[in-house]
Parts: sequence; C-alpha cells; structure tokens
Amino acid sequence: MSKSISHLEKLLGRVQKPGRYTGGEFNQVVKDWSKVKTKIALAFPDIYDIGSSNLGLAILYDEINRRNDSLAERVYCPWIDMEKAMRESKFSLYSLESKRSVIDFDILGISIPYELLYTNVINMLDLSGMPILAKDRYGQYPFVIAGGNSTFNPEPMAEFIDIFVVGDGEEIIHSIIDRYQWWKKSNRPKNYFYDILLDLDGIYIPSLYYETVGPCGQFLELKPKYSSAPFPIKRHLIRQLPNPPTHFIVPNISTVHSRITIEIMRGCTRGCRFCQSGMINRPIRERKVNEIIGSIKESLANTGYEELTLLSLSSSDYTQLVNLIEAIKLEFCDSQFDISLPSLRIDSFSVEITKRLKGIRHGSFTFAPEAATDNLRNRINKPISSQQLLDIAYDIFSNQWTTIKLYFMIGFPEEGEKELESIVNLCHQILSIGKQTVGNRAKVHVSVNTFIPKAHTPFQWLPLEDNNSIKLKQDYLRKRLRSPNIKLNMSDYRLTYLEALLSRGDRKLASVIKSAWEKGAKFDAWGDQYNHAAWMNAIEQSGIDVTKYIFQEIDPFIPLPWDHISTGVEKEYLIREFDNSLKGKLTTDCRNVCHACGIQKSYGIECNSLRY
Amino acid sequence: MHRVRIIYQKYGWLRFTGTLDVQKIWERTCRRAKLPLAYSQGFHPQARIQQACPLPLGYKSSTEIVDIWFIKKILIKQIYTALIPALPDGIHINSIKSIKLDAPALQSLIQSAEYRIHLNNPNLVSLNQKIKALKNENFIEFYKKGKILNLRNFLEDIYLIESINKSEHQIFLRLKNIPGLTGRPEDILSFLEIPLEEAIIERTNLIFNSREN
Repeated sequence: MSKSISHLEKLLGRVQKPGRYTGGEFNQVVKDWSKVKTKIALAFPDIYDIGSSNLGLAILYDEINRRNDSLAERVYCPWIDMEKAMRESKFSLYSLESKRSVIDFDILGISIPYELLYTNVINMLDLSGMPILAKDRYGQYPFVIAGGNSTFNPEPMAEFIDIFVVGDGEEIIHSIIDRYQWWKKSNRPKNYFYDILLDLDGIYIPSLYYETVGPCGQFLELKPKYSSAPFPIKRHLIRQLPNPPTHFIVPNISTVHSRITIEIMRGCTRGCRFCQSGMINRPIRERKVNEIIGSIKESLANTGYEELTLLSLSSSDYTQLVNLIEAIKLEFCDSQFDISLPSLRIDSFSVEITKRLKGIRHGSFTFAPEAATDNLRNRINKPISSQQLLDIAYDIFSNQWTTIKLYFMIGFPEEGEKELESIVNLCHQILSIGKQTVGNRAKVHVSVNTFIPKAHTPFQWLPLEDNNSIKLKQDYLRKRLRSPNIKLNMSDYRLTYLEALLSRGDRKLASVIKSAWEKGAKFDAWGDQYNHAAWMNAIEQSGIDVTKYIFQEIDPFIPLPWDHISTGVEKEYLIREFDNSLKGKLTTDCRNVCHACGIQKSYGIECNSLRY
Repeated sequence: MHRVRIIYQKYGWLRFTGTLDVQKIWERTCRRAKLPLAYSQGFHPQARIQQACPLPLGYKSSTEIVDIWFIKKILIKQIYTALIPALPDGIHINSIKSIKLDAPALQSLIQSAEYRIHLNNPNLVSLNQKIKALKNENFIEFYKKGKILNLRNFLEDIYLIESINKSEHQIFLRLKNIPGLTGRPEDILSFLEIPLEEAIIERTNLIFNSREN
C-alpha cells in the first residue's frame, strides 16, 4: 500500500528541510509496481543531504532500474525531527519514489560504508516496522542485504543482517535478483534462497556460521554450520568496471555534494600499510579515457550539474591522466563547470595537472603526507621527502593558490615527540613559504586523525593508542600550531575509540550495539549527536571487556574475527608487510614489481592487464 | 544578451523546495536544456536568474515569475521546446516572453499578491464570523523581525469561497507586497485560528504595479 499522501504532507509541514523527504527529483525512476517482479529498496543510513550523493547506491540504482523486471527506490534516514513526527503518528519508513513502506519491498539493500552508521541501520529497520534481529524476521519481511566497506568485518552487525555482499556490487546484484525471482517462483522456504546464493563470490550469510569462544568468552574462531557454506568467503571482484551511471538524481534541495562523480579507476597499488581501502580493493581497474569523456558528456547533459569530480583512491596513478586532462580541456573548454581531482600525490606533476585543469584559481590544494619524519613514513610505507613537500608548497603558492590542506595521522607505534615536532615544523615551514609568496592570505589547514588499526591491513594486529597519550599529543599540537593562519582539526577520541571497537569486533558486539541504540544512540558520526553515555552504559552492562578488541596487540598467528572474509590479499603478505614496517623497510608501488600479495593467485588474474 | 520572463506553476512535492533551491533548479534546468545562460563576472560566477517575491516553503503557486538572461537572442518557441523535457516534476510553464534588458528588477514590480487557502472541512459558521471580525478591525498587531506591525495594513481583501458539493473550501486573500516586511498568509491564518498544517496555501496571482513594461 502506498502511504497516505495527505498524512505525509502534514508531517512535512512540521519539519526542517522537508525537501529531504519528498523525492520527485529530476532523473528519479518511478515504475509501475504491478508490472515489475522484484522491488528493491536501496537505503543509506544517514540523512538525504549526505546519502543522496553516495556513488555506490547510485550505481546499484542504475543497474537495477535498467532491468525491466525490477525496480529500485531510495530510502534515507530521517533527521531527528522527522523521526519524531513519524514515530508519533506511527508513520513507517518509506521510499522516496512511490512513498511505499519499506516492508512492501522484496529486498532492503543497505550500503554501510563506515562503522559509525551501525546504530542508524538498526534505527531504520525499526522505523520500517521490522524486528531488528535477523532471527526474529521470519515471515513476510524483505531480505535485509548489506554491502559497503564496513562489511569487510561483518561480525558486529551479523545478528541484524540477513545477507552480506562483500566486494564489488554491480555484477552480483543481477545474480541475486535472478536467483530471488527463481526462489520466489519455487515457493520454497527462506533457507532455500540462501542455499542458491552460496556459489556466488562475496555472499556471506551469517546465520550459516557460528562463533566459538574460549573459557574467558574470547573469540576463538568462526566456523560454517554446514559443509555447503563457503569458507572462507571470497570477496566479489569484477575485472572490468561497467559503464558508470550518468543519470544522477538532481536533488531539489541543497545537499553536501551535488555533482557528477565519475570513478576513473578502482583500487590502489601504493600499499600504504594503514590503509584499508588500498588493501580491500585490489587490483587496480582503470576506465578508458574515451569512456570517461563520454560519461562526462552524458552526465552534464542529463543533470545540468556545475561540478564534476573524478574519483579514485589515487588520481595521480591513473595511467592516462595527462591524456584524460587534455581530452577534458578539449571537449569542455566552454562549459561553465568546476572539476575536482581528489587524492593527488605530493609531487610537481599534481600541481601541473591541477593548473591545466582549472587555470589559475584561488581555491585550496589538499595533500595527505600522514607522517612528517622519514622513519615513520618508511614504516607506514608512504614515502615523500619533506623537502619535496616544501618545494611543492612553493610551487602551489606561487601559482596563486592561497590555502594548503594537510592530513596527518597520529597514534602510530613508537611515535614520539620528535614525530610530533616534525609535524609542527612542517606546517610552520609551509606557512612561512606561503607568507613569503602570497602574504597574509596564506592559510594552512591541518587535519590530524588518530590512526585506527583496521581489518585486512598489515597493521591489523596493532593496538589503538590510549586516550591519555593521544590527548597529550593533541594538546601538544594544539599549543604548537596556534596561529591565525593555521586551522587545526583533530578527531574526537571518543569517536575514534568507538570506530576502533566496531571495526575490530566480533559477533558478541551485537548486544552492545543493540543496547546502545536502545539507549538512544544514533547519528554517531555526527559529533553533536553522538551519545557517549549510551555507548558507555551499553559497554558496561554487556560485561564484555572491550579493551581486548581495542588495546591489545594481537599475535599474528591467532585467528581474527574477520578471517573468514578473504580479500584476495593473503595473510602471509600482510605479515610480511608488518615485518617490513618494523624494520622500516619500504615496499615499492606494485605496478612495477609484483610483491605477491596474493590477488593474482586468488582470482587468476594478471594485474597489468587491467590497466590501460 | 537576451532577457526572458517565464511565468510558471509550482506544485506537488516541489512546494517543499524553498526559493534559493528553486534558483538552482532553474539554473540546472537551463543547463540541461543547453540554453546559453548568462553568468555574472568574478571568481564565483552566478547564473543571471531573478525571481519575483520569494514563495514561502510549503506553498504551491499557479503564477510564479522568473527572469532569466541568456548570452544571445533565442526564439521564444525554441526556449520553450528546450525547457520542457529538462524541467523537473512540479514546474509547469504558463508563458515565456522577451523583456527589455533595462526593465526594472522583478521584485520591485510586484504590488500585491493573491492567495487561495485550501481548507478541509472547516467550521464555516465560525470562519465567516472571524473573517468578518478581521475586516472590521482597524489594527491587528503582529511581530515581524522585531517590529510591531499592523496586519490590517497588508490585508487588501479577504473572503470565503464556499464550495457546494465538496468539503473543501477556500479563503481568498490579497496582501500588499512590501519587500522585506510582507505580511504572510500564515499571519492571517493565525488570526483566524486555523492551524497551518490544516491548510494548503496557493499563490494565485502576482499583481504588477503600473511601472511594468
């Protein structure tokens, strides 16, 4: 049943920014429900303003709606005021296109890119009128399927989700729909649908596995209940990126990003040892220049957007970057639009490229050196000399840019005052170059994040640095980076702690997440909404010693809660890289020399053949 | 340079999109239509699009007006044909005409605005009494931007349009447009003790003063 429209209109009269909840944007796809076999709600667990630009969901929306037998509609998390209005009048969560209840769909697909969205996921299930635990959802409820980077350690959310899809989603979504339709026709029980999914790479159905625990309740290992359940679960990998979506939905209200996003390549070969994205998205798969140009052209015509971003994990590494930029200049020289090229390496090439792209503009330039000493840079495998950075800074300021943004990380092992002092010195040196070049207009924006040892990286065995020592380091930086021309941003340790816990946890954490949500935790990633008391109470009441997940250095030879997810990169490689880090030994970009991470062997591919 | 004036309807879900966002919608619609929008000079060029008095969030309208500048002369028919497939749901073009480049700004031309307030099942007897009372009052104070104002100064006309068969009735309103300090239909509704969420407000006419050309 579609919702009572007049009822919804009344609710919208009471909330801020009602345009978040109306749909009706240019390029939305509305299909006739009676003519389509499979209906999928695609959800992003944050508000419309943030979720509407998510590329992952835009890809799936496009893939599904291209099929005549299926439809996809969008669902976002309502903001606090709308949630209140909805709960008060028992108005359940609905899709923007047809205004139908989420429970009327066959499948609810949720993208969960990061861990701080977990309570929102649960909140959305509840607002839909579904039991939040998978085991309680027998009967007519839609299958709840989750994807996105956070699913590379799915365990903390295992009790809430029916099916995880780990890895690239654009191909497997079709296999899932085909099998769903076959299952539905067969009139067999729910479990049968699970059975026929199991031969697909990337499918992880948590109810088919169980966790064994030791005498102190500690995680021992995860085992399949049946021999038919795959072990380990291989992430889904596509060898060639399909054509990118070009019919982006154009919001009727202002959102955080409203622009064309074209992914120029997926994956990264740099091998920074802290970086999860670099490990779980191997190998590099590039798009061809003419395909990108064609997609930009189509997208501009379809959206009227005035901004374009060329997305990848490391733009400078796109093989045909110069040709791409030249082609863009040639094709679009008269169009009024801005192009951004994020994730550039720190070298003069990046400055040159950006200059060519924009002409001279007074915007800002962003780099992520992460560390400021050679020793630490070698250990995290992100080498770049400080002198080079200073030269580039001079180059940037001389070309009339006035702001340089720098990203650093603190909390690496053996990081002492020397490392911090180097960060401080580097920032001041860059600022003084700026002042000499553009005077007092020179600005340096410094973001300092706390390192979180993430699953599937060579640093996964490391502990998170404790609150006290991070606080000392942050205080030190705050004191030493005081200047009207320096803007300093540092991450809130409480959120770092929570993210570390949720990204390194096992199944037992479900009770903590559930209880925190019951106590009112939601929108955890929004600093001002984060409910610390709810989380701390939930942790305390669970009786779980969470410090073990966060602060304990782990022996590389004991099983980890996410070991059943295979990224294609082998554990031996991660251990080797961990050792190299201890020795301060660099590992070069693997496009020149293969370091046998395992991806070629796991998938029977040749990395070099996927680049152009 | 070519300046055109578009009169359009705004309806459906789009009534929950505010004036600033509508500005963006027109810009993107023109870009999709491949019409050569004129932009202002400077570091942050803005499309030259000018709306008449802003329509409050939640209102629908049967006569919105926008002026748009293009860098060259284009046939009106061509503009119309290009715009139609590029428009989002909720905008319907009533008319397009060319306007002199030096014509005064739209905002300064609007003398008053007419509204219809759609009500579901109101108490007609008491509503009639209240409307009568409103007409008879000489001074009705309300606060706007820290000032005490007389609502009666803004109110040019008000009457009830009763429908015979349906339960939906309408109030007709004409309010004077004083930029920055315009009395709004909400202010009248609050005097009539009608909760805002019980009403759907539609702007039905923008009345130009004599300076229009």
